[in-house]
Amino acid sequence: MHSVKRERTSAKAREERRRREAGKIVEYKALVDKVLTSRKNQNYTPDALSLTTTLLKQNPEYYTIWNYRREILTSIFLAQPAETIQSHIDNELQFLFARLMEFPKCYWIWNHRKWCLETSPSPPWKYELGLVTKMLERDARNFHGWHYRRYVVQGTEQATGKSLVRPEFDYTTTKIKANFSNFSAWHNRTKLIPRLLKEEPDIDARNFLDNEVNLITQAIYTDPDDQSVWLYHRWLITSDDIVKLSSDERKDLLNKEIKSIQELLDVEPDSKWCLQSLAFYKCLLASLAGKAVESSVVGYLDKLQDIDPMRKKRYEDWKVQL
Amino acid sequence: MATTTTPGVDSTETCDVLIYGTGLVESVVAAALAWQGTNVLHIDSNPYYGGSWAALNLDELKAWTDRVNSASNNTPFSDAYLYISRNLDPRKYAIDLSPHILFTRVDLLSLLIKSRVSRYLEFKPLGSFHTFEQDSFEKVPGTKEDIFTSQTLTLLTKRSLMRFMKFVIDWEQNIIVWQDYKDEPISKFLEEKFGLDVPQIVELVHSIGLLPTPKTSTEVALGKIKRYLTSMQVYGNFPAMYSMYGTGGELAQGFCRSAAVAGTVYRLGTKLVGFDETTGVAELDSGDRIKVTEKIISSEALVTHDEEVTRMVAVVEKDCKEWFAEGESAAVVVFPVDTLDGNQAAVQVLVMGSGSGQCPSGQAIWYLSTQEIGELGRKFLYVALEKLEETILRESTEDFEFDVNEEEIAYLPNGLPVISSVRLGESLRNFTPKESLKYLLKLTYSQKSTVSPIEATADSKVIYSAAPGFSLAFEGIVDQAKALYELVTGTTDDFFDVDFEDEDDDATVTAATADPEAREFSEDKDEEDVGGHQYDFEEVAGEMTI
Repeated sequence: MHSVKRERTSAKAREERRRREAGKIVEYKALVDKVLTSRKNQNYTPDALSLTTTLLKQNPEYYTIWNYRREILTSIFLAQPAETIQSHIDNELQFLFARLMEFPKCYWIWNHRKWCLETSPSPPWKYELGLVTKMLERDARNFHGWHYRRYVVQGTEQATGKSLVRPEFDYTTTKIKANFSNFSAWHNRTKLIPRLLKEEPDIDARNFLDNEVNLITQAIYTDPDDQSVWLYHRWLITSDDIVKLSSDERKDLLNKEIKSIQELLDVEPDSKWCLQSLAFYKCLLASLAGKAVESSVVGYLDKLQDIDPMRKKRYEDWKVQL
Repeated sequence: MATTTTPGVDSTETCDVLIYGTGLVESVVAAALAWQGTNVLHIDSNPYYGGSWAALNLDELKAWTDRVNSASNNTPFSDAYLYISRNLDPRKYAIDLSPHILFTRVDLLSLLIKSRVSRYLEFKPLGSFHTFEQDSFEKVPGTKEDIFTSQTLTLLTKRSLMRFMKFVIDWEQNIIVWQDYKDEPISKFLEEKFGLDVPQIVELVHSIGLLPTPKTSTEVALGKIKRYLTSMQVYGNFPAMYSMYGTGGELAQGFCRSAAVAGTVYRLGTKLVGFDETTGVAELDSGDRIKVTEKIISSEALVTHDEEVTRMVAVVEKDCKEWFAEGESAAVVVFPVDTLDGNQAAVQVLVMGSGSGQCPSGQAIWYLSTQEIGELGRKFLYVALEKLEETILRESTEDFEFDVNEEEIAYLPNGLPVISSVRLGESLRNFTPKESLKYLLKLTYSQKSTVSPIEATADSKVIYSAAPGFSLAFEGIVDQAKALYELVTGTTDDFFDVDFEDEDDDATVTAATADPEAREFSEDKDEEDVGGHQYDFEEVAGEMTI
């Protein structure tokens, strides 16, 4: 963990701690053995379920146990009426909720939740969307949350037959306005924009694109060190999924952005992202125009080797390919 | 403390420290001393707590005005002119003689929390800081998000501002950047080192730094600017707070209460009429004689004529909610240097709505102050008052009419009509309000700073505390209290070094950031597998915004 001071514990205190932990380790190992043996014996009883509950509370990252839990539940669900299954699923969702509060970034918890939704006779999509909204309020940059959100939105759309593209797009706008250092929010936006433009044909796509470019430029100038805004910018400028641009229009757009980034580079001469983006766009422009790459690009790559020595070889490679 | 017999009878009591005046600094010291076991007798000649920091009801205010204008005035105040409209209920007002706001990252707040005095008080957020620019109040951008979403700043300005903000958060470490400008004006530093333009410099100096002039030295100014920026996001989207029912006086009262719990004896309406240095006996106007074994701390220091602030208080019949951020009841407006026909010092305004507890609903109190003095000071305050009046009438009027030609209307692709904002701005500027503003109270007065008549040393029997400072923010209170404490006890090591017993575990001022709904979720709703516990899905789903 960052900036957590190492405590200078006395040898006695360390020994004490080791003893305590040794005891816990023995207990834990015994529990694991019990659960795995239970699985080997194909024990799918409620008691077995209870065992997995205890173990998963201590270690939700042990994905084998989640697998076993699903085997137990599937067995319990056999030849059960829908209400019983739903009741079990409700309990599972509640159990998972408490785990999520403790471990919001554990793949297996989210995964099991998805399994619950898929197995549920009547999946509570509305509740799930509320839950994931709450999770994203606590941590707007949790990509698990965003991924799950896309899944829930899709499920809702299928269940209701109504598109949620517009409210979801507005949601990303809200999140970005609160803090634009959010790769997931920008990423979600890239998924929504093509659909939005298709579903709302009244929107002038070119105008829309220009507004988005303006928005991302504000972010770039506010914090040029933020990776997510540069990646979104790149998508805007190069994507074919927003609006169909003719070759000339594309070249004009590239030139305009190159000029804008150049102005930023003038006041921030050591900005890694400015240099990288300029190099990339100038190369792209050259290939579109069928011309040789501008000589300034070599200068950018040289400068990048200085300020970003970790990726020295990559820039060298790039220079060679010019 | 060896207690007395019947009052009025000539009796001699003893105390370790006699504190004269229940101002904020004295009250902090009283509590600090009391909690370390010192016998403190704390008296005040006024019938209320707070001294020069107090917030007064209208009756107290009238009496105060008479006292201040009389020949025997020994307060830091002078030249008080008071007008009160008829039919006001005097007890519904708390007029703050020296209003102060509390930034979240200052040691006074830490002390309030540590001493548990914060539990006696109710604080409200203050996140609206405006600068008067080109005839309107512009809200200052104080965070990365404000800068990002601003529609008025250019791209390059955004970059320059961000670069400065990043530097100032850590300015003490980056000495090389500013050491050449140490004693130079902050405006020069901002312009030459960061390429900032005049509007940004004005906002940073006046509304973020709360400085009286852009000529303030760079070293001093950077500290003040950092204070605002680092105070954001501690409790929420605001850098400062204020206590309800009055600022300094309420805090003083809180510390007095703490001191009383620790054993301090309080007597209001009691004057100190004499003190014999040799015998160490103090005489009170009640006839009581007190033997003081250690020191007397007095707030009756001599005033100095070097520095002065001119103040104005206006109670208006408008709620002024147009100036407050959502969920807030106060705002700060600063008129920078040279925006009021030649003012050489800023005019700072603290607007307190009825939510502050200082006035009834539908009204607001405007506290104006400037470091221009005397007749000139009052003149500039009146000009600022006019601007405030114009602005609030314009922003709060309901019958707003203006002429629009068909050509000035454009239509959005979805059919919504849009009027050019330039034209709208012009109409707003040419708008003359039909109504005028009703003033229920107007008060102007001057306030001087105080200086100790004798160099206070460890040997002095009488030491003096300072009067309220001129800054809009609480500054230096803890340092001053510690200095006095050290003169009495010889050290500051045990200053409020107390283990207060907790009535409950959760004892800090974190209301704004605590998400009550998240807490509700995280309460142990964890059921042991098969339990059949039905969760209320609808309750949570209702919060979802689609």
